[in-house]
Amino acid sequence: MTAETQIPSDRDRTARVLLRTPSGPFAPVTARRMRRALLTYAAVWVVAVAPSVLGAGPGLATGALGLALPGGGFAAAGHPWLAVATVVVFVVALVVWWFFGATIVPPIIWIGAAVLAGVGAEAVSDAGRAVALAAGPVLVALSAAVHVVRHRAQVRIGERLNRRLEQVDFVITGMPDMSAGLPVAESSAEDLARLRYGLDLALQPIDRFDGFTHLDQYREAALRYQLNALSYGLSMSRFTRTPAFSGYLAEAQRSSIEKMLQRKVWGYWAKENAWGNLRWDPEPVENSENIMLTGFMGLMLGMYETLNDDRYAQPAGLPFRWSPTRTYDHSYGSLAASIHRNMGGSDFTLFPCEPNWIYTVCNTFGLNTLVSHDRLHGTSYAADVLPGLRDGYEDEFMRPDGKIVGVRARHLGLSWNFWASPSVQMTTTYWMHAGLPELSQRTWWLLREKGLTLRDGLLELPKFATNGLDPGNYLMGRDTFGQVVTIMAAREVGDEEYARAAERTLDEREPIETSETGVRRLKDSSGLANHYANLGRFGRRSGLRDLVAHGVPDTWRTGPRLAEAAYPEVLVARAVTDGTALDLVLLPGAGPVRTTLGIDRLVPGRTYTATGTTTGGVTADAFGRALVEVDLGERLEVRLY
Amino acid sequence: MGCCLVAALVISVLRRVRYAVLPGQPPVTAAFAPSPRRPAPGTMLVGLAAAPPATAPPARLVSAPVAAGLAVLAYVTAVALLDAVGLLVTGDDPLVGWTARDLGAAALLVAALLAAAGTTPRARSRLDDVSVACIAAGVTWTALAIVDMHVLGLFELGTVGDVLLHGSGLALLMTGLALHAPPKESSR
Repeated sequence: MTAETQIPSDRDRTARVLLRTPSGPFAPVTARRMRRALLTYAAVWVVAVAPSVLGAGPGLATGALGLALPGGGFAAAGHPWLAVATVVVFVVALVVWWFFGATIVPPIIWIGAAVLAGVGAEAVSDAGRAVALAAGPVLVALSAAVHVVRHRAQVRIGERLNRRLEQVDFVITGMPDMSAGLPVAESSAEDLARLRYGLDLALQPIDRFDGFTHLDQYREAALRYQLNALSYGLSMSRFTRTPAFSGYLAEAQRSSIEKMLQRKVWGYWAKENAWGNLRWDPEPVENSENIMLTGFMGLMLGMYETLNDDRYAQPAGLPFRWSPTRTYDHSYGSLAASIHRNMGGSDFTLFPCEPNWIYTVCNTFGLNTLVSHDRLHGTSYAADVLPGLRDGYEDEFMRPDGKIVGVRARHLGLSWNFWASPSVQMTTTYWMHAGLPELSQRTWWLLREKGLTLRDGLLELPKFATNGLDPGNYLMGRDTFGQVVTIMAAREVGDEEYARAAERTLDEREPIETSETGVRRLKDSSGLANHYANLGRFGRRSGLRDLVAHGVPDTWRTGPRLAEAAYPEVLVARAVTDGTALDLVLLPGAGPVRTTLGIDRLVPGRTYTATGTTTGGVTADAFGRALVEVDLGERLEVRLY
Repeated sequence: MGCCLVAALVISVLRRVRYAVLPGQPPVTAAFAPSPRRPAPGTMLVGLAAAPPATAPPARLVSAPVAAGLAVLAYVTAVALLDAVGLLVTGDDPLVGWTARDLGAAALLVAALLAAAGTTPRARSRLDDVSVACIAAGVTWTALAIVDMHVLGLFELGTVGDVLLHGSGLALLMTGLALHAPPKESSR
């Protein structure tokens, strides 16, 4: 429910964004899925009870009862401990399903236990039979009752919040004035030392992953998520600090993308598709799921193309090589088309990451891919799916009190309550801001209302256990990642007070590790957390929204730029062009040095005045290129005009 | 990230067990990458240092208590399954004996877990890891089977089953002993 007011004197607008009143305890699509699942279970339950009613032998009767409840067969056969053990194993199987999309595991445990119970049964226990038949329906009824009670409480909270939201005007930033240029800040020495952490990881050979976290390729610590975050941080630094510098920064951007094409990064899908969908097809894009690859990588590509060139939009620009004889050729366009197709084909509009599991955060990356692709290539993908996506987020994946539900099972409609934790809200706030800014702003407002606390200039996160988790290494005990995503979200929506408080909290508390070459990182945090810390560090108000939805001024795409510089000798703190002149601020990265800089996109044959260089002036060659020499001993300003 | 709370617990436990019992390299944690160099335009890199070789992570210790604890779980589950499918011939007064045995197994499991938590990591070779795990698991399995069948007399199996149940533990034990590498002697 959104009421908008245009502000004629400004490009921004204000919007009042109320929480929707739910039509019932379960949203429409979710309710349909749950009804279908319940009907299926009811049919299985009838099959389970039939042999007992028809007087079948103990083997068939207990085996069938095992279908009514995992371990129910053992309970009916008089083996309560085996029944309990089966339930425990079944819960573990559910977790495995959830983590890795292994849909086949829970049925194997459930049916396997039923068969085993039937094979060994000599008699049927009446008490055990009663438990086997009653436990499932009772559990379902209890869960529904608890949900309804909680839902009513959430509705009342939502009504109270709406009375306050009626008084709140959210400012939605519009298209910046590109003719005036976009803000370009100067990086500090500390900013550059942190950026070097990402640069060093990216600039190693494409098939090397030294320094990355190697735990698994399925969950949050997977290489692909590290590469995504690395790439986003590099792109954001380019956008807000050095748009007129390509050089090793653009190479690092490309490297992070091309590392994604390594089979060790994307090959997980073959297994997930096999054990989740019972299909052996490693094809990572032409499927109805896997937005955790297409969405996240698509955004990397959108950012890269906005700041560089369209090489990955060319046919076969993204070759996913499965084997020497099998390659899946894709491009930025085919990734975006896949997301568009899958969103259009899903009742929820949101569609799954792992087989069956729909994550709200993943789908924001899909939307960002579509928004950037539309801007760069003239498609209307985002416009096509946005109404459905908004309904999906507002109705199916949001509680009445405004908290976003993080995950839902596509076929069963189930969700996990603790996925509505603040970390989900903050992450979604950030990544939604480009495509669904109203929801993003409202989510941030709700977070400020009900969770985040400033004390003595420091930020305290809500007392959620999940806020103490670093998803990049699965270690708990520090809320660094929560602080990092707060910086990202607060800065993006323009709440600099909270962003600075979170930064101050980390600065005062977190030890920093410095390498022999001067690279710096958060010592006790994962690579993923460090990369997102860079994304937050280099962000600004609507930084993501501008980069994804609005792009860059034409002058940035055509004006002079620093195309080559030695690394790590030359660190670029600021690089910007107005289309004619080039302004640089450089810092030494390896001590004082006399070095050469390569400039391109100059006017061929034109002589430029150069300040801050040893030469004083330079004439561009026939290709618009020139070399200038600088003595770099401390902060140095260079200008070509 | 709420799912990660559970994920972190489960994955960290699985990782501990996996690298305690099975061969393989422990995961590499995040670190700095080798420092790359890019030359200034028109120049060649001089004295470019090769990336330092990746430091081999220290071999993860094999925790004998962890292996013993897993053996307890596996043994109890195996016996329960054999009972469930009707292959066990139980004694006349099973309740007291089985209760005592279950309590004993639970106590053994708790002791193994406590010992595992208190074990100080010690670098070993991968082969040693496997051998120690096999020995600990084999001894535990064999001891449990002897106590169940011949001390408490809880159940009997046919001859083949008897040989298989005891043989499983002994085979693990022998495998572990065979893999166990003796310390290298001094060349002096």
